[in-house]
Amino acid sequence: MRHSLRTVVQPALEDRWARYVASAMDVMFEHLILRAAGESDLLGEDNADLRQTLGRLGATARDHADEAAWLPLAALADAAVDEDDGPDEPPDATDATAATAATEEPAGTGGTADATATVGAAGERDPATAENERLRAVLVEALAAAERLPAGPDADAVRDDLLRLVRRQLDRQVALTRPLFMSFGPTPKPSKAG
Amino acid sequence: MDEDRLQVHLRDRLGVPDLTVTHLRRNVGGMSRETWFATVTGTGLDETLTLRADHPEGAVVPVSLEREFQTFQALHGTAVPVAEALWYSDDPAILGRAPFYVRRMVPGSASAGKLFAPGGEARRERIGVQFAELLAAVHTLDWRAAGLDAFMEVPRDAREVALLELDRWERNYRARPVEPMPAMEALLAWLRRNVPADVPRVSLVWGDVGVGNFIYEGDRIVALTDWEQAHLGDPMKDWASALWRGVDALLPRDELFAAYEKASGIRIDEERVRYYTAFIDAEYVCTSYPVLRDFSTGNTRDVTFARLGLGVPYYCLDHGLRTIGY
Repeated sequence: MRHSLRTVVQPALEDRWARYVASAMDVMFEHLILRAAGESDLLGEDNADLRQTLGRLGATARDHADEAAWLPLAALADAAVDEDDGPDEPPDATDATAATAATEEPAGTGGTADATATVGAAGERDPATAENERLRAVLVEALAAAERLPAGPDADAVRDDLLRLVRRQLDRQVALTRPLFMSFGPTPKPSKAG
Repeated sequence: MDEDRLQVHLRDRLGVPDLTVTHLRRNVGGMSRETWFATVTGTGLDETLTLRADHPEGAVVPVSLEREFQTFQALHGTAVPVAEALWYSDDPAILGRAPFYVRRMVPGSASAGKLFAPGGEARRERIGVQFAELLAAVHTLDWRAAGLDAFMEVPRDAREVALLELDRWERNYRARPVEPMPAMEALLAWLRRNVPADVPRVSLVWGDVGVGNFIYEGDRIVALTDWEQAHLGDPMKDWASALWRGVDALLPRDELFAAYEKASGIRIDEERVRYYTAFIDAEYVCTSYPVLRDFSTGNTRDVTFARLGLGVPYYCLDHGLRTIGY
């Protein structure tokens, strides 16, 4: 589809808005190609990193078991490592049909929309995606819990560890979304030599 | 945009019975709202008008179109050059969609491509100086005299200067949840933890500042555009926006600052500029990411919104996390 867009459709477009829409389609195709190739592995890596890092922070939280402010973090760490609902291996390709965009799906698939999910035939998420969303929700809660920790080196270390996890996670997502980035600033053209 | 209905409406509002819309085109770029340019001719008439309207799916920014119109109206005739806003309407019977407003188009170009064409260094430097001086004019404007406080909230203390805006953008983000986004939560927490406590003055803040958001003709800036994010706040936020969008490609940063400080008497505070750099990243996420929810509700099927909803947030979160040290 991308090839046809680039070689047949785009060259024939004269209207500026139509060209703009076509270029958006082109980069969306590039994004989807990356996701098809790499999303499963990245999800597995992300899920493992989330469980491992949150689990380790839970150990630090349990060292402060006598301080109430640390209890939520311990509980969240337990939630991260205990509820392993699904495998991290890549889902069966016949089950994980990509985005509903190919079909005339009715509006309102219900619940929280997951724009980056791999969606199964019945609109269900594959287990790795569902687990990733669950773990990210735990991480969001952990970040909030870390904000409420009393000042001290362990609290600082926890916050730092969580932000480094956030950075690693974002880097995995950026690997798939970079083609979609939009420039907000000028791109200075190089001066001609001489 | 219904060209026939537009023609009828313009004939009526401008009082030119033989008015003809000779050319109507949608502006490419800029996703907050739709911008259309209508070239009209008739007895005593030959100009291009700008039409602003919310997308049929709704506005991307959590600011009413009417407020944008009011901002243009308030600024017209002041030291801040803007296009003349003519009228606003919230009647869907006129064009089949509403709200919308009409303003005169200022002749010139907003093109960054043309401005940065090879060989234009001297022009860019002159424009860079003017940019700094016009930003000074924005920040030293007597906003009370201009009537801006009639529709813009006035911060009551230093912390409110940032928090009023942060609250507004975060409300928009939370109103249409998509999926858990830890990077955004981290950024928002940092912004709340580091709210500037010392803000010497409350100024009119342009909001969406950068190359592409002013009109130039030759080597002169003739109008400032894109006022939908304007508010009363910290002038350092505009510098954060300007630098975020690469205005220092016109002129080196220290020269921009020197021109601004000389024209405004306002000292640049680079710590607050850094704060607002991360703020602007979060702001862009707050406006763009929720757009993705419209796909699950069936409110949109526009691929340009899909790109906006995915491309902008991850770019900004990547930039924002780096700004705060990660």
